Amino acid sequence: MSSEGQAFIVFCVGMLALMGIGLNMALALVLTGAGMAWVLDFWDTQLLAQNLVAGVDSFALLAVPFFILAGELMNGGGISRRIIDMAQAWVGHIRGGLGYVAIGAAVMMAAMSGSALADTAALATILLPMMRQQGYPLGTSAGLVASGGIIAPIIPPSMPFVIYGVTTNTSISALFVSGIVPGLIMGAGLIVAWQLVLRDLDLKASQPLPLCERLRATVKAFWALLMPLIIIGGMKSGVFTPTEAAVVAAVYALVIAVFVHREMKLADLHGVLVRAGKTTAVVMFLCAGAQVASYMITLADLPGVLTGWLGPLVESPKLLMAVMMLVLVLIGTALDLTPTILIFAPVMLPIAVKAGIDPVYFGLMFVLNGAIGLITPPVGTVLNVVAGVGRLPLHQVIKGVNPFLVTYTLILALFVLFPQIVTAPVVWLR
Amino acid sequence: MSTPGLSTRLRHLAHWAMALCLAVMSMAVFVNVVLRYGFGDGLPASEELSRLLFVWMVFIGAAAAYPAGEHMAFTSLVGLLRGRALALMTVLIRLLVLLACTLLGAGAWQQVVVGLDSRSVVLAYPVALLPLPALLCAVCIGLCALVELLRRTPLDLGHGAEVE
Amino acid sequence: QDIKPRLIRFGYGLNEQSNQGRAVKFFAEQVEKASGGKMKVRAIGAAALGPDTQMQQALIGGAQEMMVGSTATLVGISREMALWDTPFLFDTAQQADAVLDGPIGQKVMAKVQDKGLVGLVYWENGFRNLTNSKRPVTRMEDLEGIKLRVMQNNVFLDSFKQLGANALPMPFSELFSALETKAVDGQENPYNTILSSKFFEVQKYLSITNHVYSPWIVLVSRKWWDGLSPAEQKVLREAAVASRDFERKDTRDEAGRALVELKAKGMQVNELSPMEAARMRTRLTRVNAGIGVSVGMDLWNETQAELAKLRARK
Ligand code: NA
Ligand code: NA
Repeated sequence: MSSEGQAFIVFCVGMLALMGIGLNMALALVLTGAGMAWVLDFWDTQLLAQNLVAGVDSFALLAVPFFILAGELMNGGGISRRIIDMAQAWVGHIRGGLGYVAIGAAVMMAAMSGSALADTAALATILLPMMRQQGYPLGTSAGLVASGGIIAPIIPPSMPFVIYGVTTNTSISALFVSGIVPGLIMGAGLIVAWQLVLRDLDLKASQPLPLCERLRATVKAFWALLMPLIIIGGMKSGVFTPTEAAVVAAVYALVIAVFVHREMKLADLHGVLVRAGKTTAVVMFLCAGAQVASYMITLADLPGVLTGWLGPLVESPKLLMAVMMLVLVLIGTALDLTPTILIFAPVMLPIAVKAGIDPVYFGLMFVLNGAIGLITPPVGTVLNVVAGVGRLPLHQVIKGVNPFLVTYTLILALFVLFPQIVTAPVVWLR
Repeated sequence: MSTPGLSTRLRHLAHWAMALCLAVMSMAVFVNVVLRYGFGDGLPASEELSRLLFVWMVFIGAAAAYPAGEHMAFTSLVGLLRGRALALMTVLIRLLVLLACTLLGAGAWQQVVVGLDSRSVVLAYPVALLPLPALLCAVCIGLCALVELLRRTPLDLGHGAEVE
Repeated sequence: QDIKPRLIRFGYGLNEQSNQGRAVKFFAEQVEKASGGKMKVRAIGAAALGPDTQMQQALIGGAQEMMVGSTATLVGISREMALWDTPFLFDTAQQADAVLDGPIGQKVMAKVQDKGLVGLVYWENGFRNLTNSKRPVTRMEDLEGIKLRVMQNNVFLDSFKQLGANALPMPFSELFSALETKAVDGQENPYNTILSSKFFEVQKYLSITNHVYSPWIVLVSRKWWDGLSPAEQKVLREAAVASRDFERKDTRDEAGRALVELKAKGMQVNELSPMEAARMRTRLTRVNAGIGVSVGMDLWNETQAELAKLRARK
């Protein structure tokens, strides 16, 4: 057997066996890479260490800690709360209004934050107690909040797009643009799904707030609403690059939190920095380990090997896309978004490109699919967050998320059948 | 371990170092944006410095996350095991951690030695400063795994850090 | 015979279809032919073995056998390499060939030996030229106020600041989108790069300034090289020389075609007159003095004397 074939076997066995037994994922990737290096006749421990560092040593990846930092500051400094308050003032009185509040706030916050977890945590912390108090069914509410939270990585800015762009060498700004319309469609899909769910619920409409109250809530949210304008406007007009947008978001959120809203003190900054640093380190250590494996994946030309096996499938882009999406859905049940990107994007993208699929479209679909994986059982980190914040048993949230999961799956299928929905707006918006 | 509170102090030290790295990184990149947009000027060192600090922050954080059980791992299957099977798997996992750290440590050590003689382009820092945090991280995690192995600490099956 | 079976892992940054990729392939064929098929070169492009700096460290540590890369990234390992960063050092490619292949080029190359690397030959990346979205640069004054991304290297930053541009450091990976959104107005690279990176899509003006000649250098791991027999070393040296001649011709042909294509893509091209180039060179006296100090005055003076001789000859 060729050394490439052996390397492929080592890769599969390494991934399944080492990760399956619960070894630290980053180190499982390192050992898989080491095994592949051995069979490829590329053995040298220096290469393992070098690539571990190289996986982190990238300017674009700095966006990751900056986005996490921005998310912490938004939640700690009252920015997220003001957005939710405003949505509440406008649509809270409608029957099932808190659901619409959750969806609207999720879409707005998605335009400021790059991380599903930060958004979900903020939405869940503020909205779930209100929903509980007004007699909303808790599982469904929690499911809706979780589903809203995963819009964050689709509408720019987005941390997973940054990681995807760096891993596969795809333009991060093009990926950002590609997410705008699909993100809005996700929001619209949730509204429809929520309406359908509402029919079976016993909820009352309440008195709308007087206009002055609504305007007051809007004015209070002024600085928060300015944030997406600054981030997206600044990127479009060339004040800063996508990577730098993340640090601008963090600095803006800090200034608003400390000096305008005065909900944080500079002394709180240490804790915020440490939390952001810890989260970053865990994500990036995985990036580091993945680089060791992906260095060897490239050397063994695994995508080339796989393309050979897929044969006729490569001739039909839509069918190939459907198959790959199905594989990703399965992967997404067990693996979170970041590891999915780091391990599978470098293998799958070259196959897609060979079949003539647009790399930016593929990136959007990949991240969208992976983001949906955050709310599929058994392993769904966003589900865990909602369950944790709402103090609900996980199975109740899993049940509640179902209608929205179906909606998202339909949207995903729609994008497979009609890629133009994704690709056409990219051309207009750039 | 010898003095009570040593690990706590080490953890605090790591946290301070990470916070400092992140704060300086943010400033370096932000000031560069302000200078470029406002004054058509730039900090040549901005990228190099922030990348170096980023690497340090990640490996310090990764080392600190290991004893805290915060690294990502897929523990659903091993969580089903009981008794001897679980004990055996625990030993195997730690041996694998030890193996990975030994390989990484050995490689990083050679790269540190190699890097002593080279300097970075802008700041002219010794290139050894890049593999050094990886070396320290591998040593820390390896030592932790060794201690866990010898003490037969039970496996931590929590979700770890909430990371997407 | 003195030639053993050897596998040579040869890393480079551009893709297989580039001038760099073609030249590596040529080198591989030469080595196999000359060694009777015993020495095999495994060419690995597209920076799959990492960026230049990573490969250099792998070579020094003996984890990889060969690479080709920019001399500018070697400055941190050997100061003398900064000589090639000097703006307006060479007027023509012929001058560059004469100096790089002559005693001065060899002397600079020999300096990396102590650092664990063996330099074989210089290839050509090319003269760097300027593109921007504001105006054609025909005189030094046209650079005024242009936000120009330059390589992250103090010499380039200083030089363009001296010439009046707002020289800005920025990673290459961020460059295209920065040009597109006009976060920066311009950049400088050889034609081949301007074409392959599609800068013509976001840049209107191309000014032929030839302001820096960028060589590439073919390197071998010293740890590995010292274990080779003289016959094996000879195979590599001769194949390297053959690849150099092939690469330079190929690169120059391609640069010519790239220029034609850039014009066809709608770039507005203008040339910098020799007089303006001379004005710019004079303005850079202070920067040049700095380079002289860092590479050593003896080497600097020797180079200037050699160049004066070459210029007088024509
Ligand atoms: Na977002
Ligand atoms: Na999942």
